[in-house]
This record gives sequence, C-alpha cells and structure tokens, in this order.
Amino acid sequence: MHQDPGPLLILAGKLLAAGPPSLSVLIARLQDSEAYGDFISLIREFLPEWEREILHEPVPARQMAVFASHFEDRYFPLDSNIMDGWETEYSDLTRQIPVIPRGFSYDDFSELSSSGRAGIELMTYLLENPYRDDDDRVALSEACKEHVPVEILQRVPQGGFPLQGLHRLLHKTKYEALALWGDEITMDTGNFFLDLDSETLYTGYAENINWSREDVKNLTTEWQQADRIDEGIYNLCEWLEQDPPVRFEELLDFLLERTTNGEEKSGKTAIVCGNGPG
Amino acid sequence: MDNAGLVRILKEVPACHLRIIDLAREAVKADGSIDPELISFRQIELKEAVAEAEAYAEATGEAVKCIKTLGRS
Repeated sequence: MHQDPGPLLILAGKLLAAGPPSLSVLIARLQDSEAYGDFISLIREFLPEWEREILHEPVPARQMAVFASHFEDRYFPLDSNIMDGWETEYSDLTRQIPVIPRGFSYDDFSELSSSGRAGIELMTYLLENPYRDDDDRVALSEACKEHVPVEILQRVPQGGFPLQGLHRLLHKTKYEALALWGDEITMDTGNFFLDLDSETLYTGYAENINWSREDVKNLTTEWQQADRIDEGIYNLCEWLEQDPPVRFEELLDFLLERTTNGEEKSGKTAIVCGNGPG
Repeated sequence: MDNAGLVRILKEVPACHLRIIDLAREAVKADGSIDPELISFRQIELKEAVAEAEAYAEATGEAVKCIKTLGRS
C-alpha cells in the first residue's frame, strides 16, 4: 500500500533541493553587471519564454549554452564555443552575434584534395583553381585518379573550366549546383555566411554584427539560404559518388559540349584539353 | 552598487547543485554513521564530488573578494 512521505522527509527534500547559490553566476553578475544586463535583454528580446529555464542553469557558460540551443531552433546556430559551454563570460555572447563562418578559406581549399569525398574532389577538379596554385591542382588530380580513370580526367580542359560564365553554361540544368560550388570555393556566393571565413571574422569583421532584431532576421534568412545552396551542392556531390566514372564523364561531356557550342557561336578558339593527370 | 542592488542580485542567483550533499545523505546508515561499504563502492563519484566541493569553496573566496571590492568602491 502506498504511504505518503512523512513531514521530515518532505522537509529534508526541500532543504536539499534549495542548494547553495551559484557562485559563478554571482561573480559574473558582480564583476560585469553590464554584460549580464545585456544577456537578460537578449533573452527577453529573442527567447522570452525560455528566460526561466536559461537562468535556472547554475553557471554562465551553461546559461549561454541553453540560450544558444534555443536560439538555433528558432533562428540560426551560434559559434560552437557558446553552444558547447566553453565561453564563460556573458560578454563573449553579448558583444556581437557569435556567427559561424562557413566560407572556404585558402586553407580549406588546399585541404579539399584530402577531403575523402570523391564528389567534392571531382567537382573541384572540373573547375579552375581560384588561387592559381599548381600544387593544389596536382594533389587534386592525384586524388581524383582514385575515383575516375585517367583517360577521362585528361579530357578536362587545362587548369579546369573557367569559373566566369559557369552560371550561364549551367543555368537551369541539373548540374547547376556546380556553378554554385564554383561560387562557394571563391567565397563569391552573395551569401553572408558562405562568403565569410574565420580569418575575416576574427580580424574585426564581427564588430559589425550587432544584436539587433533586424540583423538577426536577416541572418536567419541568410543561414537558410546557405543551407539551400549547400544542399544543392551536396546533392550533386552524392549523385557523382553513386557512379564516379560514368557520372563524371556525363558531366564533363555536358560541359565540353556547352563550352564548344558557346565558343563556336562567339567565334572563339576551342578549349584546350588533354593535359590532365598522366 | 548599493546594498539593495546586492540583495537583489543575491536573490536572483540560481541555486547550485553540489553532489556531495546528496552523497552525504546517501552514504550514511540509519543510525547516522558513515556506511564504509557504500563509500568504497562509490569512490570515483565521491572523488568527483569532493573536487566539485573544493572548487566551490575556492569560488567562495573569490565571491567574497568581489563583494569586498564592491563595498570599497
């Protein structure tokens, strides 16, 4: 038979549940009351219904992590240091929006040849190297040889297809995402997140990203657009990976045909092929 | 910051759950003495709880310093 707990047990439970005060929150509030005030304002502006849950967390890092988690659900993800609870001062969150840069820096580009994604390596090899780096292109061709016969790779024009004019060539075709990939590796998508790399962000650019309602709204739209662009690119990547030799050749044929036709119409010389990987 | 402000902050600060308080309650026998068997089974948990409590004690010193600084300013 169920027996209700006695009054002493209830009292013990209440005393244990109360707990001592969170000293990290107390210290943070005493040392930087302005940043704490800003944090409260952010919660009330963007996530008012979660205020109780967020402030219930015992340390500032956890409060900011819970804030970031709910913020991501409604708007867009914030920097992983905030999300993972590594930042300990409120000002790390409040001084500007801690955005995640998604742009392809030179270093990111150099590492593409060892990305382990056949589709990404093949798409990149089709395009000219925006940094004109022969070493990168050689490394890329070596990586691509693992997925596609050399004879097919050798048909890619010297240095890859020019990025300029790629959108025109692929407009409204099922390969259109290749042009978007070209934009992405040159950080020229027109999208805030995809055109922003870590270096640019940490050299002061972030100071311009303020916690205003308007900026948050715009950045939410930009993040969704970046996801759509990436989704298109990764769909093409996966399509290539389903049968790399056949699909790559199909895409290459299409590009060569379009390029040749376009140049015939404009009276230009045909593109030079045949010096790909040997 | 005036006293009223400090009191308000103290009231708003969330509670912190120290595991050692739970363990202290769980690791005793009915007569209130420490249960050595249970302690030996929960060594890792106990060490973590002690470390947490020590960190809390250190932070207490920092909080006191902070309040004293405010009092002098």
